[in-house]
Amino acid sequence: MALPLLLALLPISLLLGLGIGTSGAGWSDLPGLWNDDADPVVRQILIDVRLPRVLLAALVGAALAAAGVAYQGVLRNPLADPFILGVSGGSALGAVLFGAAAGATSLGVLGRPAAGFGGALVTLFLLFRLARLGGRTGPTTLLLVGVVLNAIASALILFVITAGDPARFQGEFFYLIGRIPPQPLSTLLAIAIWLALGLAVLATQSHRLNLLALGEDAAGQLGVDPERSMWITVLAASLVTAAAVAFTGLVGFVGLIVPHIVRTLLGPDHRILLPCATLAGASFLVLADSAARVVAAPVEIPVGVLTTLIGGPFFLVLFLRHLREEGGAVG
Amino acid sequence: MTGLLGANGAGKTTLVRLASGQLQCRRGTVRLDGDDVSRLTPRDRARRIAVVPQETRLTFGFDVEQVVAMGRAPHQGRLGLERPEDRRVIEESMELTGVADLRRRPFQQLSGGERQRVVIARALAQQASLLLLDEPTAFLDLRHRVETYELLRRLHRDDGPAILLVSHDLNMTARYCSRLLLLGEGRLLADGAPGEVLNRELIRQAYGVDNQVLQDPLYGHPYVVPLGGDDREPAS
Repeated sequence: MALPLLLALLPISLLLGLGIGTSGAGWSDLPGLWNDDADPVVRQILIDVRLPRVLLAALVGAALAAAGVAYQGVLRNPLADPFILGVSGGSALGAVLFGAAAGATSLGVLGRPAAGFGGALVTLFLLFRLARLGGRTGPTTLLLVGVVLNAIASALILFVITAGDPARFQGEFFYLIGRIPPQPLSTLLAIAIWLALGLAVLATQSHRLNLLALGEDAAGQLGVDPERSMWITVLAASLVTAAAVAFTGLVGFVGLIVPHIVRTLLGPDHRILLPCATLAGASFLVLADSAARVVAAPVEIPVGVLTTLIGGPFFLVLFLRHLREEGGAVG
Repeated sequence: MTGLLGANGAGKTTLVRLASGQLQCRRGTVRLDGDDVSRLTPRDRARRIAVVPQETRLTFGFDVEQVVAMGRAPHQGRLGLERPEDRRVIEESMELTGVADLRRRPFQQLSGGERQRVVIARALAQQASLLLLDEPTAFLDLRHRVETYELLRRLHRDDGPAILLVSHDLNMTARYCSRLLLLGEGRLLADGAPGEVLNRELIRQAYGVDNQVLQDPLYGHPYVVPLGGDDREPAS
């Protein structure tokens, strides 16, 4: 029921996003785009600039929302999100380091996401080790450690960008807040493949995430190998995050907002939540990026500004409610 | 229906974890119908042994029916897609435990007693031949405690699974179980009918508490009264 609706929403969002922008081109130009008398400049804006951007937003939104669902399920924590856990930061750092080492070569299409995945793995390792050093890992501890790791990664990214070749990193500052730059088709394809791979793996774990909600012991008593399931899920989620972050930077809170809303509407079953949140995330970021293009017209703001301005307060409200329900225990 | 008794640290929970295959024996084997439990795959084990813990904390707002349906996981494929057979067992388990009316309620919003019935329904949905319960009434008040024991007895009587129940409640287990096992001093102190196991000397050995064993005036089962160390003499 919800899935077809969300499937229909995506092309509508894409069309909407295609028509919104600060330059003159808009929806009215879409029908006659391939006529002989079409303005080549308009066609270039729509097809070469805005279409890849809209598609990239859809891929990144889908990836971040799916990763959010996965991290929340595995950690049994509705406040988890690739950005808050620091995985986005680690991925971004990996991608920027690759950029610094290899330059803007064609290798970047594969290298940036791969280096980002490496960065994500290092972050995850640190995250779990550090959170565990403090004894029993409470849900809040993990988030706190994640936020700090994210801050450190951001500082390192800024270090690499400012200390590096200014020509090479022009405009990369926006990477820290996340934006959707126009990318060649090959990049979109690469992200789509990484995303499809990660989603396929996550789909196989979706029912096990349901069982894990009962706790690791109970899941084990129902025939699940909890450790194995958790690692597979975390790795797939990180892969998907790395692919999303590699070219756009730290677009925050998408993995928190979208799964939360979809879960509230459709319930917690991960077999429904995962595909629905993925589709909703795609639409969400396309629309958010469209809004970011015109909200401060004629200047475009990076979409990460918008998602963080929405997601930050959203997180705080959820967090305070969570604390109240847990009786104020911060663990 | 068998009760497993013993003081804190006597190894009751360890025994349950060994029996459910979550711990490996250093010596000896745990056998279920002749098969070494530790050699079963987690999935096979889940089809034969169902465990009800003291308390279940659930993340996310799964409703009662979804929780009971999770008990079918060991019989289903990776995605847990529901077949008619699964539906039948889920409905039956909810009926038997009286939680069918709660099916749309979020599990987290239920009272402790209702939750425990849902968890028992989930365990029943596993269609296991052995039901292991680890102090299932530890956090329940008197009414829910009685209701849980009544439910277990009814399930067991109606052709249900064998039940092994870990408990601290000597008098309730004496009333509801046909066989008791008493752990203490690192070994099995006694194994037999409540009348044989619950005697003054054995209980003193297991718990280190002086006591007197009376007979329950209504139901006739042994009734253990621990004696205080104070100066007050028992009334009779």
